[in-house]
Amino acid sequence: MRTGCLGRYRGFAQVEYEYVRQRVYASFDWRTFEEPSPSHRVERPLERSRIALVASAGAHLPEQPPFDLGKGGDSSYRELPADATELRFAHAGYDTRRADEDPDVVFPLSLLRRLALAGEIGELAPRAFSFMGYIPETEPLLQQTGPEVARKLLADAVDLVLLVPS
Amino acid sequence: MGLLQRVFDEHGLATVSITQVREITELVKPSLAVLVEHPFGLTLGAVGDEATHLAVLRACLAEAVRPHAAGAIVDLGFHWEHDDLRERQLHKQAH
Repeated sequence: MRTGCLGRYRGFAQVEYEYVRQRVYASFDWRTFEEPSPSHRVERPLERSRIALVASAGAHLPEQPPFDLGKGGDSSYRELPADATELRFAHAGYDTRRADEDPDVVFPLSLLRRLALAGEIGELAPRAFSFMGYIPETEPLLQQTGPEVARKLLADAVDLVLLVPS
Repeated sequence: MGLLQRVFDEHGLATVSITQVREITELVKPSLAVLVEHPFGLTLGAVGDEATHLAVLRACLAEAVRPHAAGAIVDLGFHWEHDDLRERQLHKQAH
């Protein structure tokens, strides 16, 4: 991770860095890497692939607890069944009223179901995973909840993970 | 999403992510990202714009099965032309 003063990132990375540090979380910094993470091929054609949705829009089922919108962020996740239709959104970083009106703008579960029905993809994984994208302290995500979800995706034998931000 | 994607990549999963901000993804370097220049909270497009939602999704999935060098960021060519929401968000003047 880089350390230092203001003015070292480009574009919105710098804008967000300054905003979060000044108004929300004083010790915030971007987690940066010198090398890309390894790339793995999708082993089957899309029309035979099992695809999992992982999104950071703060989606949850009505009966699940919403995400913590406090300044410390929330690295927890929610599991949503692939046939979920009634969604709620909790996120401090964007106006969730748009997602309330049309969940597909940030959590395209119903669109993926349609692609599966049309045969464009093989099938949806049995569950989707939902995070809330504001996580200023990343260690719990990197060491705990991220690996937990990775193991669940492997258990679900997914061919491809589609990650959608908000 | 890039940090989470890196975790999945390290576990051997095939992944593709959408990014709305190239410069942040360049800091994190996940295996494969596709750039969609839509506002925050409208990642796939405007409310009710199903045609664009599907177009983004299809384009994203198509890139996932094409060969790319690790760390690639592919511009899908979607730009926001409805209003200045994205521009204001990028200056923290809108939510």
